[in-house]
Amino acid sequence: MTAVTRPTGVSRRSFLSVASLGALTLFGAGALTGCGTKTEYAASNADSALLPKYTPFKGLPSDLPGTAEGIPAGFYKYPKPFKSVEKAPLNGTIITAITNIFGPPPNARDKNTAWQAVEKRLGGKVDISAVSSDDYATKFNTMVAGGDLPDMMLNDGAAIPNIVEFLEAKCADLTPHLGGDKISDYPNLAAIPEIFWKDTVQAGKLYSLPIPRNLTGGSGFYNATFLEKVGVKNTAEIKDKDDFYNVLKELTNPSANQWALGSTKFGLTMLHHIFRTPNVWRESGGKMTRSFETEEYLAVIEYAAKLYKDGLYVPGSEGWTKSQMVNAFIGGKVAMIYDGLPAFTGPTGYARSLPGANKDYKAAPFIPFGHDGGKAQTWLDNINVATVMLKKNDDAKLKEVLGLANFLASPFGSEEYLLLNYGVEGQDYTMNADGNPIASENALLNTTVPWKYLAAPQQVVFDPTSKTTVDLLHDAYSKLIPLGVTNPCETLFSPKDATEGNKLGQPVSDAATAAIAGRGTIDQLKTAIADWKKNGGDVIRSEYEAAFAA
Amino acid sequence: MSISSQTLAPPKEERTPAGNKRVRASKRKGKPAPEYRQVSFMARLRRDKVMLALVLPGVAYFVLFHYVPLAGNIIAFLDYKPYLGFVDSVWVGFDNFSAMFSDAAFWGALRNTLVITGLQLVLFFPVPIALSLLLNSIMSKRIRKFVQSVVYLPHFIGWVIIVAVFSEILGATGIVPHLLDSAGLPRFDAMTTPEFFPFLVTIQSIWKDAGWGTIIFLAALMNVDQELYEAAAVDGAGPWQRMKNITIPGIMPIIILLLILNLGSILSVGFEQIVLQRDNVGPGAGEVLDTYVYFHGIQDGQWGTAAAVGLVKGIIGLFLVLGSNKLAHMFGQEGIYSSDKTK
Amino acid sequence: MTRLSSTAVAPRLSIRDRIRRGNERPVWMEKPKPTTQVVKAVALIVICFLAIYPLFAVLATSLSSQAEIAANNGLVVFPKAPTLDAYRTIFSGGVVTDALVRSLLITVIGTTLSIAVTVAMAYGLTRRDLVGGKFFLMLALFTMLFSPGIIPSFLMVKEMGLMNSYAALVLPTLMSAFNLVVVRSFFMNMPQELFEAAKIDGAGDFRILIQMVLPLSKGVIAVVGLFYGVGYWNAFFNAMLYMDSDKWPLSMILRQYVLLGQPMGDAVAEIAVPSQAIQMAVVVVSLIPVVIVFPFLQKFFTKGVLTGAIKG
Repeated sequence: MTAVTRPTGVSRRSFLSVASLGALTLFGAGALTGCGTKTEYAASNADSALLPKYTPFKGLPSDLPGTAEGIPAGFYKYPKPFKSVEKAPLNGTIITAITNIFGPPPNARDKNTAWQAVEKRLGGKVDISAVSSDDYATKFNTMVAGGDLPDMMLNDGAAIPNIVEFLEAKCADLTPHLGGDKISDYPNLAAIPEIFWKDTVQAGKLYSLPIPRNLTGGSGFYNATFLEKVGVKNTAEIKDKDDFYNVLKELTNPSANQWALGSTKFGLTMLHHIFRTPNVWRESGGKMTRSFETEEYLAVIEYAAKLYKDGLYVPGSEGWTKSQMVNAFIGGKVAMIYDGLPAFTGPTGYARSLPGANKDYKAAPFIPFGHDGGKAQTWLDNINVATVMLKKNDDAKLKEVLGLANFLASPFGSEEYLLLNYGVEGQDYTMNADGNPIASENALLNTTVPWKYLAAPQQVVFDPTSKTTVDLLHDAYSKLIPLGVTNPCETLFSPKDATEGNKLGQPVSDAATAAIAGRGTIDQLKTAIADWKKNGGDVIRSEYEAAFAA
Repeated sequence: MSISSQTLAPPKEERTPAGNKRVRASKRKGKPAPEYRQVSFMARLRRDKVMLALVLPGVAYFVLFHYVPLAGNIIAFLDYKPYLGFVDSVWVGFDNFSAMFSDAAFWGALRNTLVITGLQLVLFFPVPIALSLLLNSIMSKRIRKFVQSVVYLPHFIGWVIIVAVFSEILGATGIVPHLLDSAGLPRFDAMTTPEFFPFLVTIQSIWKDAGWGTIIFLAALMNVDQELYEAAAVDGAGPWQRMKNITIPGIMPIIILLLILNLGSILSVGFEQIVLQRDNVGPGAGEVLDTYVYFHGIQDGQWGTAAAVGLVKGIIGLFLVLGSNKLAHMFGQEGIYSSDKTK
Repeated sequence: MTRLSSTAVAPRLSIRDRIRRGNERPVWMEKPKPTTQVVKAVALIVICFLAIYPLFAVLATSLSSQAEIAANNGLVVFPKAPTLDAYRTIFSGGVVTDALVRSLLITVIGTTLSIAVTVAMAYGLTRRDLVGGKFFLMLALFTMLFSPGIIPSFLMVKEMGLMNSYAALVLPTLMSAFNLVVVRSFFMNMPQELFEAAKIDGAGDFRILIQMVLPLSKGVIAVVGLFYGVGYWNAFFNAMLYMDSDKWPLSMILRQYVLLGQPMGDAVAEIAVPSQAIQMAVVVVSLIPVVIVFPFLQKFFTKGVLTGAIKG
């Protein structure tokens, strides 16, 4: 996972903090994003001249291998640092940027030795305007309305509904700089596999830089201790939905304050994976089907409604805040929850917090099984956390900005990576006997400059404190990614979806919640879905189909 | 208090507890308004120059930071895109409004909003008044000070925490249902019962803000002329009579004022509080105008929709304020501003 | 002071007696009935419990480990092994301490300016036939009903050259029409004869404001001062829009901590949620100044100021 073990991130594509609460869990993450390309353009069959050529690093020995398909490499300890970028990318220039920051802001530049050290290596300054993802749409749009476009701009997928128009009007086409072999000038960017670049193609052009994640958000987590008690060593061994039901039944004992399930919005993702619901859209012979139009989706809702009715969910848990859910899981009140895989590691990640609460507890990533004894299907719903657009600039300036991005994308294992993520050795961190960087407590706010939300390398799984955690997580990615499907509309653009997608989808999401909670019926859900089609869903579909065919 | 002096002008001698309201009105009688009228505009300007100079900075503030940017509400009539600006965004006329008015979900949200604010006006609004009367009646300075400095504190706890606390207490696995269970009574899950939702949010609001709301009434109470009480007591009025005839009329102007201002914002219910709990009860009970705007515009980046709803809310609020102010005048209260008659 | 306040005639009573009898009860006031007393006492105890309990729990939870919080469903009342970890996290690095100083300055200066402008305008508007008076009042009132929107406000601040200056945290929220209307209402409720008399004695409008109105209005000024002060103290939105992060006030920095624990469902989390203790510690930290300042304001909420001042 991310090699940085301090709290940094929050959810992507959330709009306001409370926003993310209600939004579209039932549809999966991609629903919030305006997909890629405008109607007239084709992007899905991005040709090889367009996508940057993948050139992996050689000679970086990992403990657990990664693959070109995107399974991340695993590391038990930090490799011996090597220098990745020789020449300072900036020429005394000041680059401006707007992006996300998670948690507290860094120490001011004049007091921040790590920040100064980075800019010394860069040979110039980067003025970053950064707010949390909850405030980003507001901040970004006011800045845009004020007419000051920074050189680098995070596209979180939510801030700009009419993304294609914006890109064409204001952003630099990077194809001439990065397309195909051109990327060889920027070897660190070239080491990012193709799948991450696919998201950055809009309107047939390469418009932005990826900030890679490990492809899938996973299927959730379970308390391995509880599952072992009922005879399940690994959730992938569960035979089918009836077997699963029995397991859940055994895990539930309300009088002992224990339930099998309990997650905000029912944590349906794992059920969707078990029932093979499409990842937002399914494409078949050029025809698009929205996830909730499928039999699989309805089966999930019916199944969840049964689980709810039979008391296998904590009553009322669908309205939990995230903290409530985390507390319930750590405290042993629920056996399984849905949360993204990045929440596994780090000081407050489940890998540490469950045993921290009760030394017998163990957390493990949920590996789904097929509801009918077949294979499960996961979602590649966390390919990039966001992408970064570059303002139209003259070539010289663009080259500098790309050089900066290349520096910031220095891979795990490099000196630059250490500098960007851990600061200055001796001051902000020390290398322990095993060669792992240990952050000094007082230096934490030196290293929260949000460099890694401007450009970043492919991630790895790294946790110097626990080999087991690395093994579990790497194993999870190795199993989940091959089962994964992408959202076929991720790189397509539908104006209707971009401007009304959430509005149209909300009643379906509400009807599904009501059906599971027993306030509504499946028939009402079907009506809501029919209304969706009538009110604009079919328009969205045809726009995507046209974009796909183009 | 600020009762229109022309209509109610009993002689000053009538200073009895029962006639208190009128007494206070008479106090203001000293102002010889008609006399002022006779002077010329220039003379008034000269007379008012100090007062106008004092008003000026405030007016400048409102113009600069409210009225000039207020023109930005034009985006209610635009398909506004920030990077295009106000001029280049497409003019869509009343599309944003008609889309809203033809949406059943809008009317549902409006109904829910009115139910919740209506309930809050009836149940929540009197609580700070009652609480401040109670505090005011405490004779021990220590106890009063202590209670005062405690009751306003919940105001500072965020909704996320308050909602979580409520679900731990009232939620299905919370303390109250457990108690009901052990008492052999039927379980009642206050958090997920749609019919109860308006009451739930009202109870939460009372818990959070009733104490904070007392501050303004306490300040008003302290302005009530203490001699009136003494005079009333001498005349044989008991505690309840004194409250009815002195205290309540004494703070009535501020009560009316706050009531009118509350009516102005009747279509805004706490967004965060509601959106955090909307999924518990579904949109049928839990969608209010502010969450409607969020789900039907803001999330999709439709700035125009949000501005349109804001304008509708403002216009309705304006009518309510003007109307209730007029009503207040009919009952002899000043309200926010004096009626034309009293000029 | 009121001529007949009982403080003067209540000699040497034990504290208990004083509390029971009420050390402030004027002689003309009858003793309350015991049942009334009991009902009041019970009501007060319940109210205080309802107000203190959540705060106490917030404080206790901020001192608890994540394990203990989880075991107690998110709210700890008596932490078994109190820890200052959450506070250490928040205060480490000095960013929060710097912001604390900034926030205090912004709050003090902002509140002072706001009170000055509000009192001045409210006083000016007390003259019923002031030239343009009703228009100005309506002008202010109107702003409570229609909000100008974020982007136009941003453009205004930018045009005025206030970006990244502390003035951007004060000027755009300098005044609230609500407070203006409240202050004006209080002014209007003062016995106007006094001012008329002063005028006859030759006092100008400004002198009447300074020498007569203000001393009589400490209560309401304390109230709106509290409203403004709390407003400035808690404001984060304008800081988010207008300021670089090295000039953020405390509220904005604390918000960054809170948001770490907030995001839900729809998207894949970037990291694990931090312990809920941090969320609670944030409440405590932002509450401390309010708890310190309130008792000082409280002395203005004492009964009888007006009467005393007039008669005394």
